[in-house]
Amino acid sequence: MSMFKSLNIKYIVPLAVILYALPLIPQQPYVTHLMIMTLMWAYLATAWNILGGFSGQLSLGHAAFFGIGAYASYFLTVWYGIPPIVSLIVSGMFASLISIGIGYPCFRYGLRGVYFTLATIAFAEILKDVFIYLRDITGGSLGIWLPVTHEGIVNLYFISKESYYYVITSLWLLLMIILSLAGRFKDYLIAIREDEDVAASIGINITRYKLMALLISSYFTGVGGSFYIYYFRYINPYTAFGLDTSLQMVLISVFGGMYSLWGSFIGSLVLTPIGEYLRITLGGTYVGSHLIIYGVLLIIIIRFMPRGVFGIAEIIRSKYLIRGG
Amino acid sequence: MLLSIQKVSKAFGGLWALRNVDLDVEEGEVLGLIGPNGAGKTTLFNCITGYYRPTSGKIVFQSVDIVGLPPYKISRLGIARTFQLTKGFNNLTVFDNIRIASLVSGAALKDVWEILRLVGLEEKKDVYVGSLTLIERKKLELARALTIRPKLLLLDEVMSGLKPSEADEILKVISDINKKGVTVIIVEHVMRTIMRICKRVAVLDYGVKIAEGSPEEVMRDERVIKAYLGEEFVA
Ligand SMILES: Nc1ncnc2c1ncn2[C@@H]1O[C@H](COP(=O)(O)OP(=O)(O)OP(=O)(O)O)[C@@H](O)[C@H]1O
Ligand SMILES: [Mg+2]
Repeated sequence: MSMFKSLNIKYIVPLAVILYALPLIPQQPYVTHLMIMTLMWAYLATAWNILGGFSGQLSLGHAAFFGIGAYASYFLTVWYGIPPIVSLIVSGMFASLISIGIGYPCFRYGLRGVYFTLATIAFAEILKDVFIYLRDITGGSLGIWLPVTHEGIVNLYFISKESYYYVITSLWLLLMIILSLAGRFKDYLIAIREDEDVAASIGINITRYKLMALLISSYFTGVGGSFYIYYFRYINPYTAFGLDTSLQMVLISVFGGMYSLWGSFIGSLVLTPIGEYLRITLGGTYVGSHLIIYGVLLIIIIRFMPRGVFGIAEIIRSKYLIRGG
Repeated sequence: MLLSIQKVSKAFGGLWALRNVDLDVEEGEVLGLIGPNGAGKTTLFNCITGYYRPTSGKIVFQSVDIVGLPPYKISRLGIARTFQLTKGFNNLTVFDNIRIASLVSGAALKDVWEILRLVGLEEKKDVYVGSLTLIERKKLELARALTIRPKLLLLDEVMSGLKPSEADEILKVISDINKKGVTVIIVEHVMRTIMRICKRVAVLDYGVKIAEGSPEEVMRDERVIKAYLGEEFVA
């Protein structure tokens, strides 16, 4: 474990070079879109994993923060004329603010395990209903469109898809670097996940660190929602606050390996292309069928490879290392 | 006086696990705490460390009443504990368990090695805690408690289930720690262990402190014999 941790930064640099170089290869716009989606879901799953993986608080309602980030960006841009690049950063703060609504009561009064998970689902569902209901403000179930604007990084509006790819890749790399450097914070969260009584016995303020994990996780998830709306230029409450959105983050993270910082990236690399394919081929005909596939996948993963793809890689590696000397 | 337990009671529903327990612990001593199964020993530890809130009574540590403080604050005051039913970060290695435990108190990496060596877990450092044997888990309990550099160390049956030779090893570690100025309260069932390290022993039975004194005094006490062996053994 400790060896992998110290190598994080060393892996990030060459990976960054590869990721930034990829668009130099000429490709179909659809492939670029797929790359954007892969990085976006890697980013969102990494953000989810701060709370769900490291601190072990299984949230199935992260769409709440994703949705708030997206809608906050819309309001900031359209109503207040705040430059999108600024809104992207600020929108996450709204997600954090909203997250206190669930975190404070749950963590302060010790709502644990399944009860916390159920509370997160309810929280996202309630937000969805509120955003559908407040039609005059939120556009209701029809959703909202961002108007066309001047191209450029300030407006986060580009004609070429490659530019969006650079934005989301940078966001993901930034998040990875921050988390690689926050070793001690991560260790405290892991201690809490592993055993709260033990964590307390060595002096860790559990309530405080769980809340911090939630605030940080929801912040980055909100920024992800913000990216979503600037890229797609449209969102509705079903996508913004829906269970599929939450489940997708969880599934990718768990599949890749939620004990590792790299799990989400590996998970997204495999699952996002499959997910996009399923959505296109099945989505129209059998509404919700991809959810069933997600559910089945999740059960299989948890049953047969609780440490995810990354965990298997780690086991093989450690076996090899032991044999090698 | 380092710790003063004053009229502490703890009720679980209708069951009184502790009743008006008074107990003073002097700085630098090794106090034995004994009693039959269900006597309330672990409950007393849980009250001292904030995992349970006493129903009534006061617990004063270095002249601060610590009743009502959360466990992490009590830990930071310098009271360390082990768990009778061993616990640990099962998905992490022995080394990472102790390394993470050392973070809060700010111990250096060499202190981590020192502690692992002290309890004899150095060779197991890369083993996942989930696959340790019982004895190794007991050692891990002790190691983790040491990471916070405690003033007071509460040991809940860290030697039970160990072979005599192993128990002696741990006993040696405990007495070394004590020589460095750490006050210790030991809960054990095995009298041999208690006799060897404690000058003073307190006995709990059904939540009541029934005796206190040197191990020899306590073992001659009629109420203690009765509690341990039943009425018919009293001469
Ligand atoms: N959380 C709890 N809820 C209800 N009853 C409890 C709880 N914890 C302890 N008890 C009860 O309190 C009494 C004292 O238990 P405790 O664990 O303190 O005994 P002990 O002296 O440590 O015994 P042992 O030697 O078996 O470890 C027992 O009757 C036990 O069943
Ligand atoms: Mg006990």
